[in-house]
This record gives sequence, C-alpha cells and structure tokens, in this order.
Amino acid sequence: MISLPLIKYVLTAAFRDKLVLSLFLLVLVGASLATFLGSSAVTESDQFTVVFASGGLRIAAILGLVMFIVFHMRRSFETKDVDYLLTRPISRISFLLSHAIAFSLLAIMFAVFVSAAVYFLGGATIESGFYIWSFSLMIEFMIMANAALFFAMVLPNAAASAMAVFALYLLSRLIGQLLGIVETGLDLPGFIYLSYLMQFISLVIPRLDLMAQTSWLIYGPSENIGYLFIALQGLVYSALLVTASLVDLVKRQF
Amino acid sequence: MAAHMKTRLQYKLYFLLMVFVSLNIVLWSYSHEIKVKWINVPPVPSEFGSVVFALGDKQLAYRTYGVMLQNLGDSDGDTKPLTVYNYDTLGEWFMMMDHLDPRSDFVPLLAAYYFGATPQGEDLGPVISYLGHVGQYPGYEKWRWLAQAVYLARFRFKDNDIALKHAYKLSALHRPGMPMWAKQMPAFVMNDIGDKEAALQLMTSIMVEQGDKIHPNEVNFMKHYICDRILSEDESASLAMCDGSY
Repeated sequence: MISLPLIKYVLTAAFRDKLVLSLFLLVLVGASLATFLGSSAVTESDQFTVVFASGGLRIAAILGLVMFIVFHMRRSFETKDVDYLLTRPISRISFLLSHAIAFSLLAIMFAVFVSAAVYFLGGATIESGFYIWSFSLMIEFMIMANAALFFAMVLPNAAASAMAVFALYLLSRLIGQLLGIVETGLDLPGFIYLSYLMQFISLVIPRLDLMAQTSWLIYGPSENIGYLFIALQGLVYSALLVTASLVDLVKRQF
Repeated sequence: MAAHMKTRLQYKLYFLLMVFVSLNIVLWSYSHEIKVKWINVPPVPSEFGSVVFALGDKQLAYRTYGVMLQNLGDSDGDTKPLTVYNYDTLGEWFMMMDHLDPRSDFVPLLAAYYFGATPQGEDLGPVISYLGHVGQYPGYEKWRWLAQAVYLARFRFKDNDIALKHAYKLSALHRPGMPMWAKQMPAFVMNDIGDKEAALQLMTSIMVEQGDKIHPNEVNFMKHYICDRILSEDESASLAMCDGSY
C-alpha cells in the first residue's frame, strides 16, 4: 500500500531543493527578528519575543511547506514524472498515500524546527502549554501539507493551487470569528442566506483557530482544547483530503 | 545590412530609454512633494478586523498592536509629543486591545506610565476609564491599575468624583496580598476633598471591623491618619484613641 522508495524519493527531492537549508535560514532570520522586536517592548519583552517567534515562524513555515509541495507536484506532472512512476509497479493509491506520508514527514520536520526555536527563545517564559502547542502545530502543518497535495492534484497550475491553499488556511484560521459574526447577526440584506452559506462552508473547514494558539505559550493551555480533539481534527481532515485527492487521481486519464 | 539595422534599432531603443527616464523625472517632480505625514492615532479596527492580519491569532495581533502603540509617535523621522495625541482614540485602542488579551499588563502599563505622563492632565479621561476597567480583573495584582486610576484622577485629571468612584471600586475588591491602604483609599480621597466626616467614619469602621486582624503597624498608621490628618488638633485631643504615641 505504501511505497518506501517513493517516500524516500520525495524526501530526497526536498533535500535536493535545499528545503532543509531554507528552513534553517528561515528559522534563524525569524528568531532574530522576533528577538529584536521583542526586546524593543517596554515590558513583557520575553512574552513579545515568544509570540512574534511562534506566530511569525508558523506563517513563514506554512508558506515554505505549501510552496514546496505545490511546485513539486506540479513539476512532477509537467515533467511526466507522475506518468513514469505510474508505469512502475506502484498503484495509484500507493502513489498518493506515499506522497501524503512523505509530505506529512516534512510537516513534522518543519514543526520540530519551529518548536525548537520557540523553546530556545522562550526559556523560562514558556508555560506548560508548550507541549500541546508543539503537537498542535505539527498537526496543523500536516493538515496544510495534505491540503497542498490535494489542490496540487486537482488544479491545473501551481500558482492557482498555492492561492487556493492559502485561502483555505486563512479561512480555517478565521472560521471561529466568522461563525461568531453569524451567531451575533448583522443588519444586512440577505444576511440570513449568507449565514446559512457560511455554516455550510464551515462543515468542511478545519478549526485551525482552535489549534496552536500562541496564548498557550504565555498563559498555559486552554481548558476546552486537548490532545484528543487536536489528534482527531488532524486525522479526520487529513483523511478527507487524501481521499478526495485519491478520487481525483483514480478518475484521471493519463 | 543586418549590422546597420541592428544599430538603428539600438538608437531607437536608446531614444525610448531617454523618453522613459524623462517621463520618470516628470512624475518625480510631482511625487517627491508627497511625504509621509503623521496622522495622529490611527482609527481602531473592529474586533474581527484586528485579528485578520494576524491570521486569527489574537495574541500575535495583541503584541503587534502593542509595539505599534508603544512607537506610535515615531514616524517620518520625527517624534511627536504626547500633547498632540488624540486620547479619545487611544482609549478606544486600549479597549480593543483588552478584548484581544485581558490578562497582559503591557497595555495597562503603557496607559498608566507612558500615556499617563502627558503634561495635559485634562486629556487623561479615557486612560483613567480604561485603568478603572482593567483594575477590577481578578488577575495577579491587577488591582494596582485601579489605584493608578485613582491617582491620575486625583492629581492629574483633577476630578475627585471620578477618583472617589474608582477608590470605592478598589476598596470593594478582595484580592490576596492587597494592602490595607487600598481598602482605605476612599477615606484618603474624601479627606482630600474636605469630606472629613465621611473619611473618619470609613477609617473608624475599618478599625472596628478589622482592627484585630491587621498588623499593629497598620493600626498605628490608621490612628495617625485619623488623629493628625482627618481631625483637627482640638478634635483629636478629645478622642481617647489619639492619646499617647502611635
């Protein structure tokens, strides 16, 4: 079902594209910038550093991860690598699952790098919420890696795929606020239909706003969100994305 | 022939290059007069708008706006004095920031010690109102912001009614480690505005109700305050409590 050589092939491509080196530089620059900005605050400068590092590096890491996955997949289609690989004794299901696992491993690597930088910068400031934050960050990156894989499979070009993934990310991080507006209500013509539409959309949007909250690093974990919810969110949404990608790949004519 | 055509094409391209450089200079003659200007305290975004730019991360939005507020007047190579700040808009910023993170002490500190330092004490209404709000939160030593609100209202804003209102809020709080002077704050304000009878009544009631639970040094301070600050020399001479040293 899963092809280890294919996973190794994708990971080798990531190393060959200097993804690890880029990630290392990104973390270094991001951490330095966060330290600089944090130290300029008149008080709570350690908290500022931790929040700038965790919030900033998360966004930067998502950008890097998504760009790599989308461009790698589109390049594989355009250079006929996919056609070639599928002529080997690898089934379409194995092809896709192996890619999903390889990209998830990359997502874990990104999360470990970012978490280590935040831990190093935070020191004594970091609260007990660090571990759940790191776990949550890892799941968030895995979800977005699988989302990037899905959009790279179904959309015909890299730019459109990257834009679609970023739109999904933005929506996922703001969905709690949007549902709050729906609940509160607005005096707008047709608002009722918009609110139904928003609630319908929210059925297939992961609640990333509930995950990896930077406030956990300063004030400790939230009482409402635990490891189980985070793990289930990651499992269920990743399964949805991988299955949708599989449906597309199985139907595709080469 | 080909070399000749190439040269002509090059001349045309040089000519076009000169035309576009000239046009650029014409455009510059208009745009170089437009410079960055300080627009005073910027308008406050909505709660939703405030978190959009941080991709829904309230804490990141709070810290980013925090740095922005701290460095608000440092723009276009100039530093603006606090006297030109719009304090009403600043007050709206404080309340918006309070929605993003009610636990941090960064914005209360900025409001009390930085923006509160303006030479124009009459601008401090929104700052006092904000400090009076956050001072009631149950967090660690949050009550100190209420004490700061009383101070600013009494000595900078010069409105004893507002000071008394916040002093009553402060004395009504029950926080671990809160000193006795916080409970006595309304008496200090009332004594200051000349309502000595009410001040005496409050101090006496604290002594009667809690005198056996508080440290002797605090009791001595209260005796001193009643006998030497609230009462006149004649009045204190007739009071048994004021006999002897304390």
